[in-house]
Amino acid sequence: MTIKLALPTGDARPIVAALLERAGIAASNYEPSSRVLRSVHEEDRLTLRIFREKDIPIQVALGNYDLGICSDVWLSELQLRFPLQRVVRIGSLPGPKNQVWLCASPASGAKPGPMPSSNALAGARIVSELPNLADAVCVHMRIPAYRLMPVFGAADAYPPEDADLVVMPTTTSQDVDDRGLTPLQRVYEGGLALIANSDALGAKSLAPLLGKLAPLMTGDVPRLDLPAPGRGTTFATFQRRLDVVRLALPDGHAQRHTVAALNDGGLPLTGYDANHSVRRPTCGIPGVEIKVVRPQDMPGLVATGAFDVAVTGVDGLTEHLCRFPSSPVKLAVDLGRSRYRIGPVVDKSFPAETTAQAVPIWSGLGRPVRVASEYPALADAFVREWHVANTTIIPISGASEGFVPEDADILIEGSETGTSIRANGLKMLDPFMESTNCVIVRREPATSRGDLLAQVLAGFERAAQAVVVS
Amino acid sequence: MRDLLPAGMRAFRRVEDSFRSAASCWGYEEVRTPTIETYRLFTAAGALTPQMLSRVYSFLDWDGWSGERVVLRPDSTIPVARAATEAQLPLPTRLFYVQNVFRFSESDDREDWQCGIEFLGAPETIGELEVAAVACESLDALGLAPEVRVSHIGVARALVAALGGDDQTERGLYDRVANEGLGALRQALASHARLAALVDVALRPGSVALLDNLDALASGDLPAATSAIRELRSVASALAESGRTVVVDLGLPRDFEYYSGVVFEFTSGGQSWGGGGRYRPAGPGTPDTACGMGLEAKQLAEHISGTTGEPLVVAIIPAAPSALARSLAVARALHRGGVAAALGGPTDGPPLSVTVSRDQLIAHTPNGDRAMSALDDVVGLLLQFK
Repeated sequence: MTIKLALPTGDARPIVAALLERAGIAASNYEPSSRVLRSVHEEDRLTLRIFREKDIPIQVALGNYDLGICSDVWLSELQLRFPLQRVVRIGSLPGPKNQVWLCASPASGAKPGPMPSSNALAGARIVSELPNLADAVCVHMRIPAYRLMPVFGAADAYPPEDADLVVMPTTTSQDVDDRGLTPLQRVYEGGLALIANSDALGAKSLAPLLGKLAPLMTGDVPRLDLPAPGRGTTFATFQRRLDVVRLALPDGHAQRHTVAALNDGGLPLTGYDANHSVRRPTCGIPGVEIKVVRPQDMPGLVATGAFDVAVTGVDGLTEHLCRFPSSPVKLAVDLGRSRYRIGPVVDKSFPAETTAQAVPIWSGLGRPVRVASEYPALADAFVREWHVANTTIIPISGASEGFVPEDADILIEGSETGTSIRANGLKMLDPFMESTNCVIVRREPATSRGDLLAQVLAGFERAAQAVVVS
Repeated sequence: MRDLLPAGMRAFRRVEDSFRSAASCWGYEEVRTPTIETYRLFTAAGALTPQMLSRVYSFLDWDGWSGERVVLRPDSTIPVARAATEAQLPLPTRLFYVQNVFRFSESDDREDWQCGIEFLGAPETIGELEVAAVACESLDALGLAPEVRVSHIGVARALVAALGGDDQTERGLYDRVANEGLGALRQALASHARLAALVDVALRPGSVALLDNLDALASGDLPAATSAIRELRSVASALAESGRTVVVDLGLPRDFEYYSGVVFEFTSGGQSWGGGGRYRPAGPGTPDTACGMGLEAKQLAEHISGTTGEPLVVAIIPAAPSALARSLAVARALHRGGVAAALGGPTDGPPLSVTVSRDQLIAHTPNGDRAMSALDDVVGLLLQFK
């Protein structure tokens, strides 16, 4: 019987690859340089699948994989919210230690050490890439009327204007200091964990892998230290200025296209170019405040009035509006760059070329159709529109091409050229939308500087025109 | 989640009716609050404990772009207090509700039904006596012999305060007492002979006389406990003198963040059917004090389901298609007389049925068949079996 092992991509990949080599586990195609997301080692009866770390505990809990290796923090993040999941931690493997800290905005007046009281924190905005852990912190501290803001990344960039507290992964308290935040308490410490599906552990022989990994195990145990409220009464929350225009720009892959648009629009920045960025770039227009955050988080930030303008993708905006139809966010300028199509992606052997041909096949499966996507609300809207009644939507955080066909029937995915889809033995049926980068605003702007907002938008209009002309 | 099928619903309605009747007799008026509430309502100080909050069903609503979370109502007391405050109902206000609450549980049963009352702004002692009376009369009506177990949060609070310690230690002790009862303090008090003796005595459930003994042990050393014991005594003795079975049980585990004074548990045959007590409603603008209690409607319904008979439904059997219209008229006449009747065929007839033909009605009863021509006569006959 084949053992299915889920392994992490990203920063953990070289560490885990070295670990597997030490254990004598054949893991060709898992080298850090490889782009392969799934490999089968028939002689060892082993199937390897590479995921974003966050998805590994979920996939193991679902029973799609027998064993997994991931950071403890992602396992705890799942188990804090879903304690009944069928996933167990077998033990620690050697690897880097990770900490999660509760940090305060420096503008709050909080100092390292003494914790503010529950009432002093009333209404605090807390931002985190680990929302379940952050939620547990707030609940344990009995913070009245706290507001949790789950984000895809760049949590440290939010204070003071956009958050009062941050729960963030880091290495040391010094690292928190270095990012300009006040460390209040370490709330979690863990390392690399070997995890298993609890049903598989009881019913299937995983011995060939466990036997090799067991000698490497360490005695480390992850620690969750939820903070208790203290007696500190000083904790100032920050209000954004309304006499400025706040502009959010994307980091990561979207950066290159955004820089080009800014240049075409006559809005050059300092601290933000195609390859590098600081969290708070500057431009030559007085009264414009800029911050660099994840594009996926921008519709929410504009909706709440934290930002007045943001450069994101039509995909992210549509996902947001599918989820929150009454959101006050709207598209202001289509910048026309970073163009790609989004549609249902299936295995290349799937006997249909269009969605219309595929729907009867999906509907006839006699079981829930598994739809994986980084755009869960969009995926949900897609299956609703096509009347595919019996579905399971699987929200994922990346490494998406590896999900079909074993772990999902359909992938709702974006593709610029289709190269990656073809390379993974997949094909896209008819795309249902085209995404470009775009500028979004709030229907009723939060800023009082309508003139300045118009000036910024005019720059982006010029950038859009430049694309049309070219 | 569990279905309530006809037998279960019949028993459930009996519980509901008993409670509604008792609450109404004491002047309480019914309210209903939304199933979906904002999450922040329950995070206010003194609302739900972290353990409870970690078991709520919370999510972002369709308009949740602001990050504002909502919950499926995990508790009714807090929403009822909110509703009364928002509507500026004059105090004191007597309200009752029959509502479902949703909390994660490791069993499949994650929806509970509560029959509860909230006496907002309730005067001291009067409030306690009233809520206990409503609970007891509800249980009386179901044929259960209620026992009222009483305690006072102030006794444990006084003991924890006497131990000293920082906020975190104090909170840890409260959590332990909330989960395990007063006995959780026994070890911590080992070096305080008199206080340890007080706990030892307090842990033995007894009658009202127990409170006199506790008063004697606490006086001098624990003035805060003394006032709590005396307050509890006035409630317990009034209940006992009114003929209720009262057990003083200071070992009752209760939520310290929520309750502030006398607390109750209502039992019969060793089984707990609900509880309540004096509390400080959470949230801005809410009254300073209130008394409330809740009965576990679903558990009560399960308990009495064996003694809840099936309703009598008379089968109206049309002898021929030409008798259908007359059959409807017979059914309507029985309905007006308060007798349930439904059209049926000759094979599935219950003990009572009426065969309807154009010129004759034949009533089939356990006493035999009777042919009649007047509709009123048939109704009169069948009413005897109602």
